[in-house]
Amino acid sequence: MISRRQFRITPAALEEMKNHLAATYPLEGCGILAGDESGSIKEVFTAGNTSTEERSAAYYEIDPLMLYELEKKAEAKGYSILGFYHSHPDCEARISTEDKQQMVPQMLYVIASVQKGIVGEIIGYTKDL
Amino acid sequence: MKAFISATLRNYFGKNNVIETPAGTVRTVLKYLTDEYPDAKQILFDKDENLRRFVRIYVGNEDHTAPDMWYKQLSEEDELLILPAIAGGAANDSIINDARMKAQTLDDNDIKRFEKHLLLKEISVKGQKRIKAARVIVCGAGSLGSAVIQYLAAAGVGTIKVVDDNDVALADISSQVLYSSRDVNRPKAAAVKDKVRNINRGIEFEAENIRLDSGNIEEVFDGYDLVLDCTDNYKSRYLINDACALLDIPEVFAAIYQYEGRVGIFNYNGGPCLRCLYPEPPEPGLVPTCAEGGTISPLAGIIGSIQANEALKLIIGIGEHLDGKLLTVDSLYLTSRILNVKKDNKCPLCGLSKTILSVEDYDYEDFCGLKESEDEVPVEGITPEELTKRMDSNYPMTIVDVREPHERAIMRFPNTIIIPIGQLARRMKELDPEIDTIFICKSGKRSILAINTLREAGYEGKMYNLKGGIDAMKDIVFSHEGAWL
Repeated sequence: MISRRQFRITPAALEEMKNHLAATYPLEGCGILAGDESGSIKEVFTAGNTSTEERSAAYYEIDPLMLYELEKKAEAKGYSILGFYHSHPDCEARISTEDKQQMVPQMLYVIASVQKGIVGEIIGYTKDL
Repeated sequence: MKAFISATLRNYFGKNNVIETPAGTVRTVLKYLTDEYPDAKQILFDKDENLRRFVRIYVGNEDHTAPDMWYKQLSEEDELLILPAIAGGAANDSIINDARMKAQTLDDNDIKRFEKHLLLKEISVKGQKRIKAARVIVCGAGSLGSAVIQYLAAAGVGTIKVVDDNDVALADISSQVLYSSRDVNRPKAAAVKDKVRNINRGIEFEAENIRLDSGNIEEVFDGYDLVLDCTDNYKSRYLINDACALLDIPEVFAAIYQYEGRVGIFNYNGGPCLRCLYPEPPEPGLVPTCAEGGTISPLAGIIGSIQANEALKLIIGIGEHLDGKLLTVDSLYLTSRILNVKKDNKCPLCGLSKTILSVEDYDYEDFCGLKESEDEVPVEGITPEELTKRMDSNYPMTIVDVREPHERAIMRFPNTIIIPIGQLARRMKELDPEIDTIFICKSGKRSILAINTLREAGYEGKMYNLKGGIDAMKDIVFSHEGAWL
């Protein structure tokens, strides 16, 4: 089951995520959400979209080894990994079939709609085990 | 050795980030971990014990996710990493990108012609431009192709190429509504061109009178956005599926049989392919094609229309579609179901360790069991002419008709023993091994199956297969003594 999930994020982290996704437009941008045990997001770590150029307007992937390095970086700062964020350029912030199939259960997936370079709706999703 | 667990998966491994395990292979390490941490088994594997799609196994910097790497011996110093593959895609992404959409213009005539599409807010001008920019291939201009080609041309798909090397036959007219009675004996490629010209002259339309094979398929498909498989045989279906996966072109698949149809989308955004769903075709002769098994006339219209609708949705980028799903429709009892098709990690075409890297090096005849294998005793055939001669001269022989009762009602064959294939082994004693036995069916395929069945059952008499079946016999029989109906 995939459901919407509300989440807390600090204004600074939100700003950084929005700036990152606006900068990667028209391609999809992605990154890691780090925070404390209560589930509140304190900082975001931007990840390079390693998807091939041609499809990266509609597809993102984070190289597993790079993700592992980012995790270590976040944990060194005392954070827990809460989930991931990515953008849907010129598309709604609705979770896609592609997203659903790749989700890690219980992680928070934040999707931001970026229309013409401006970050619009931002929605969080999570999948049960 | 040490196993490192990603922070995203640690909750299932007792919150440990590193676990000491006995050295062995990836398989034994995973076994150890899932035995120690039962929750881990749930997160790593699905019900069928396949690794979940988001799980990646690394040894050092090397990806070891493919199960065939799980048997390699690892040393005590090796580090195994269990990581997630974080990936996804935008919702409803059209297969036609924005640049190509923006390069199109709609003139006054287009605005009038496509008014019904423009009125739908999900399609509108942008969607219609994407349709105009799309380049689509339709394989097969038969009954499914009839619906598909007419709807795609009418909807304004900018470039359509149809591939079919058959001529229109009288038997086609009842379900292949592209053609009229006066098209009989014309090449389909020529007849379809005339028809489409009358529907919409504003599109680029091409019809090639060729048969797709592993030598030409890549050239035919190159540069197109979408392939619609409207063929009626397994060899073509696998060839089309493989070429699509290798060229990274999505495919809308459809098939019909008697009263039932199926539609699915393969090779879309890294999704499953035909081989993930059906790793192998059924044995030849077991499932007759439409040409042999028959089909109710409007079925192809229903299924072909759904196929064309899926194609348009992929082009426009709207709605839910059949990616990773298979729609089955039973027109006799009006039931339909959507089955989930999972990507098979072990798929030789699109799985984790690919073995099919080119269609040219792959033997489709052999894969579909159409080749006579060397250790198999070939079935001896008899031509319709020879059989007629033997019948005329009262040559001693037994003729066994393996057709179904409703097929025999269409055309009776005199002086035969009627034994359905299922009863052959049991009723072997009715045959006289001292004289020749000739097996007949509609097109000469099931009769081969019959001969092989009897051989396996230990029948030792001489057996012949009527080549081309009663279909091939028709012309001679009719000219010799008129219809036997």
